[in-house]
Amino acid sequence: MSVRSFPHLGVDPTPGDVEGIDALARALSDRATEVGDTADQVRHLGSDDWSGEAARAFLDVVHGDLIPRIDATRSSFEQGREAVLRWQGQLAGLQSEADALEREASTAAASAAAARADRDRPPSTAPQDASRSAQHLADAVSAADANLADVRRRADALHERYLHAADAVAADLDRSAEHARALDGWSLSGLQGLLALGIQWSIAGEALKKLFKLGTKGKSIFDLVMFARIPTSAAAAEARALAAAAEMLPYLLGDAPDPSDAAAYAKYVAAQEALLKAWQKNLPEDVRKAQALYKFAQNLQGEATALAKVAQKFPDVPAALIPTTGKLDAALKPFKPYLPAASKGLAVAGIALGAKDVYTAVTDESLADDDRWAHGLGGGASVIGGAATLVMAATAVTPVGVGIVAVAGVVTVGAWAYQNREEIAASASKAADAVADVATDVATDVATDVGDAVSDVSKTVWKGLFG
Amino acid sequence: MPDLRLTDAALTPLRTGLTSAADALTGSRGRTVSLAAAALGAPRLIARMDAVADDWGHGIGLLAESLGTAAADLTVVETRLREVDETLAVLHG
Repeated sequence: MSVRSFPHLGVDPTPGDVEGIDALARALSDRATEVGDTADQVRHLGSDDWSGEAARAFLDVVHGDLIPRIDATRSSFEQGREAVLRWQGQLAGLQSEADALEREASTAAASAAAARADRDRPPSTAPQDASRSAQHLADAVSAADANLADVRRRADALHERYLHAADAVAADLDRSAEHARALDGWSLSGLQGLLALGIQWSIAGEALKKLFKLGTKGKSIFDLVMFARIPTSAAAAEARALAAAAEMLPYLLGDAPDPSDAAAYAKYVAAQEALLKAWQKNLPEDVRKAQALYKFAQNLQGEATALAKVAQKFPDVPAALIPTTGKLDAALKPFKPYLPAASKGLAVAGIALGAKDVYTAVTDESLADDDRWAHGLGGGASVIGGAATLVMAATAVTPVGVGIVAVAGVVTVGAWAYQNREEIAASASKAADAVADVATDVATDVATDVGDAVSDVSKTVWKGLFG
Repeated sequence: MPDLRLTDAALTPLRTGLTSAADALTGSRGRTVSLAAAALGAPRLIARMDAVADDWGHGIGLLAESLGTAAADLTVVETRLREVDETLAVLHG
């Protein structure tokens, strides 16, 4: 740093160290680089071994919230550096002017000193001194002093300009830190919650898939039981229809109710409605069987093929009566075009996974005997179920085939449950522990609140008794 | 849910990276608050530079803290994910 002195102006009108500002600008540039490098480092963070909902939630927060803020901080340092460099340029110019004024003041001060010395010198008899009147000498001193004062006034004006420029740069600097100030109160505190949410979604998705699988197997078995009961249920429906007709018969034979007798008329209307419902449900056995078989077949073969094949099997049943649309059918309508392909794909996957389990059962001697049996049984059932599905899809759907698939599914799920009995128990225990932890936390909070309340009451009573 | 299958080191690169980034910002913060502003000359400008350096330092400190929090969150989450992984292994059979 060069030492600047202003003996003739009296004070430095433009203080500051231009070379020192260079160092400050470099320091700000270094901070911008460091912060930018950190942003890049975080931007490229990742793990090949971690993906999914939780990973997405994490990376969304890091890329959407954290990195932009680090980038903004880098920009903030760059803006600060630009402001400082601008000031450096302005300061260099102002200091040149100050140096020029100091030189001018030096000259003016020398002139004033010379004039003063001339005035104070004793008059001589020399002829040239005749013209040096006292007034003339005094005027010369005044003019030299005024000249010096003018230089100093200009130095004051320069200082004012210096302050004005410094204030403008200060305002720029202030603006450059807005990003940093905006961070106040911000934190990544929601990250853990987001991650937990992601994990919950993953678990929920998996559990739902497993529940859906169990549900479809259970529904197949239920449908099979209902299929086996068709002769019984058809006979029962016919009996109900005949009973309803018998109730209605007296009215049909002319014994009309008296409309003024409200009770008798209500009985008549109820008998009418019961007859209507009973006749609607009174479907013959072969119609019921055709409808049930169509329900099984449509998911494997598609609606058109299933209808054609079932109609061929039940030539006495009108084709219009075969397709039935329950609530589940209506809900699944958008997916129906894809169900045959999905069923076949799942059947192939079932065969492959089942075969792998059978292979494990045969070759893995580290497993206990019962686990090898469970693997073998579950795998075998999976292969049989998958094969039966493929055969039915290619040929015809039969109750026996549907039964094989359903029972195989139940055996597969049962074997899976047996193989994982310890883990299932451990998971249930963990879930119970988690619930217990929450309950304990709540109980602790309540106990603390109650304890505080009791303490407050005690203090009040103590104060009341003893002041 | 294969995307949750974790190896022992699955989150280590992330956690290490976040911790290292937090340390880097902490170092920057220290150097920011000690910026030599006197060279600017004008007293009001020096005072503003000091105040802004404090703001920068505070902001960088918050960022460093957040990175540290994220790294700590990952430690908690890693433990949780391992438990979940065990559960999912059961679900997958």
